[in-house]
Amino acid sequence: MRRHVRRAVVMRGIVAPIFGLIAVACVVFGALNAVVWKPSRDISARAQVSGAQYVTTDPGVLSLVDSSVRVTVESDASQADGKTTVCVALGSGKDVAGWVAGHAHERITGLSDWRTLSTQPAAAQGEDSSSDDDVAFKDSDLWTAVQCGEQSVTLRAADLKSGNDTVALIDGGNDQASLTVTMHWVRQNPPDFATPLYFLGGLFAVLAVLCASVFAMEPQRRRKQTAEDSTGETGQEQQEVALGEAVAGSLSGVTKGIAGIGSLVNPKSRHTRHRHAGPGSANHHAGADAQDAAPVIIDPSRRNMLASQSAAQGDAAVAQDALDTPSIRRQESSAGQGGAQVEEAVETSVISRQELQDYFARLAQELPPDKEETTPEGESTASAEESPSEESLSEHISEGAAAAVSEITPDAGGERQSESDSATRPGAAETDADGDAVISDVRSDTVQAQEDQAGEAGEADDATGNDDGPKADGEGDSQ
Amino acid sequence: MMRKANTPRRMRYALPARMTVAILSLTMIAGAAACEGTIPEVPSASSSTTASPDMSEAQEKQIRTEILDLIEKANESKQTDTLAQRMSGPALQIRTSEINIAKVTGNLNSTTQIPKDTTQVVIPTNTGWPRSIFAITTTTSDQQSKRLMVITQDSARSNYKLWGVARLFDGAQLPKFAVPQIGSQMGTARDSGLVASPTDAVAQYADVLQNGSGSKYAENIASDSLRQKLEELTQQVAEGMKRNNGTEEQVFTPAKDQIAVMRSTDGGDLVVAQIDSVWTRQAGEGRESQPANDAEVALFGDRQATSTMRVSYINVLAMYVPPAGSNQKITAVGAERQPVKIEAL
Repeated sequence: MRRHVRRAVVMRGIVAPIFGLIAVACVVFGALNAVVWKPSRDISARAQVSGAQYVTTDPGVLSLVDSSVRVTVESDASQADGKTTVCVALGSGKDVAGWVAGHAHERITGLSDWRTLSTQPAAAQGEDSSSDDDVAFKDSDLWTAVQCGEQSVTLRAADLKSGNDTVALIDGGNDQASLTVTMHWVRQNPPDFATPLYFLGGLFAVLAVLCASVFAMEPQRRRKQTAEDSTGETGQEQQEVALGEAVAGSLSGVTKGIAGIGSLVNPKSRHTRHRHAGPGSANHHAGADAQDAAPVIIDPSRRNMLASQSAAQGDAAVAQDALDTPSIRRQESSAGQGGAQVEEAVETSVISRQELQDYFARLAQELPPDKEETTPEGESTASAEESPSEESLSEHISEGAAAAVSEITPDAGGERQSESDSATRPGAAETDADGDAVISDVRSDTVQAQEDQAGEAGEADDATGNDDGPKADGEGDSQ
Repeated sequence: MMRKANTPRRMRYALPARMTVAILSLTMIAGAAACEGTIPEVPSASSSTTASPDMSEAQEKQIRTEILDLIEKANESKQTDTLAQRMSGPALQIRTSEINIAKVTGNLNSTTQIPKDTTQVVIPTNTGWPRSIFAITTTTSDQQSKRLMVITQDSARSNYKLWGVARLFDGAQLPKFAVPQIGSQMGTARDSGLVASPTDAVAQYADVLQNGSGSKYAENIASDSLRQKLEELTQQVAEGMKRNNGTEEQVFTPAKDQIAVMRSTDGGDLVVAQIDSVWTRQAGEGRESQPANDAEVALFGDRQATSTMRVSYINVLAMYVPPAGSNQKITAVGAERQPVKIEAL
């Protein structure tokens, strides 16, 4: 399956529904948290204390849940135990500590869970300052508020700021009784779990919409690429591209992808990007968009036989020269796409036979005598080879034909080009930017040397100064 | 996974049942895990180094009001048995004496008034006991000077009681104290860093009271109206005694542990202490020694005078002890003097 269609399917069919489901679930649970699972406002925690006459709260316990608290103390002491008056007082920490000095007491240290107060016994500290003329608990000047009652008592404390030093002191009357201390708060600001879930639900809904529309859309942008994708034929050519071309092609593909995303914002950038990326990304385009590209016309006249033959012979200098100049053409013709359309306008026309013959005639005259022996084809160039077939051409060259020139027709060139490509010659199809004679390759080892010479001779008009090169190399160095 | 036959280009992909359940359960767990929220923690007690006042201004006012109400009731009923609930120390003895005198004379001396409003309240910051509140009242309705009240709580299980009252001298300058919201630190009887410790300062003053200008501490003590008045009084009595060939003697003794000290912000201490004095008057040539003033007369009542009369006074002195290195003298700022016992020996 094509990648873009698959992407759309994944996005629309899988990811978007998942996000949509999560969004719905978040909203549902947000609603549940707001209604059924709503945190309760009333918090009531209790503790059971026995064996101590005095119970104190640690600083901060009274304002633990809210700034107002209702403390209720119940005693199960019977009349037989003596004093049954239970008192609760509020005072500062040091005052309470002074009152219970010398007495072991219980401390309420906090909440162990939402229904239970945690307590801790405390040993007697300081000296017991009680005497006979002690003032009664209720009458002491130390307390800011005090309540007493028989068996049970309730005291309300309000406006307790966190950090307040106010603590509660409970006097159970005697240390035989078992006291039940209950603290009741009404939360003014219970925690809100619904709002974050609503927010998450909205977020996922937005994501779902995005996935279904925008994120699934990207392949469409690619559909608008310039249609120079190579056909399946050129696909074969892809395998023969050089490593440098492959890397360059990949890089250009990556930049093209980024440009594709950017084109979401600016649709115009697409086209300009493609134009610039054409020359350097021919191979990649062929591989990636082979399916989308329209068929491209291959012109065998673009091939640079000199370069391909030199490269095959291992002649770096010549091959490099040949490669450099018509590099653009080479890539285009091998991939046959991209800016090839642009280059087509620059394409040279077919070299006429007559021109080629003239050239070889001149070449034969200029060749040194020894080379003339090895290149009897100098004369035979005059007999411009017309046979389109490879066999006839090789025969002709083996007879000493100077130039292995095939009648240049598009069809024949194409066939030969494919054959030459099959011989894995890099830069097989080349075109001379100057419109020089483009000689199709002949993939016959036996005739390569002669062909090189002929090819080099055919390249005499190369503006890069191969005039001497082909002649000299053609005689001795072409291998 | 269901596939529709007529959609070749787009695959219909329904979410597998397991994935649906997984997603729903995840969100469900997140929702149900915290119904009430996290249990709050008691903030760890931040032990602040700055001391806090032992009470608020409202609490102090309530305490002072209760004390004054009780005193007023006792004044009106001329009963002294309830005084001990809210009075202690020299103030208790003085007020008892005043009420006893009032029983005889019919009215309390106007100098016994204590206004209910205050101009300054000094609240201690001590965590232990005893604790003292220094309260300075306004001037009385008949333009008498302000009173300095010392209200003390001896232990955690006792209440605040009025321990001492001193009438401030006219023009006396009191040291500065921090506002009640901040509180002031109490001093001890052995505070250092002063020209003399509070106990020594009281002893020096008692010596000066007794010996007058001849006291070796006369230079340390600034002149004040009490000393002047006492000197005048003593001189008069001495002249009278000499005419009759009698003798008189006053002995001033600081009472033991009856002292309250409050540190002021300028480094000095405001000290309120009890000084007992015994005045022995011996009439010569077989005469009777009579009470010297109205108070003594009222206290003496109908008893038979003899040639020797011994009167016990309680003096409450309020003095400012300046910090060491300052060039100031120990200065008395207020006093109260009341005969509490009179004997004819």
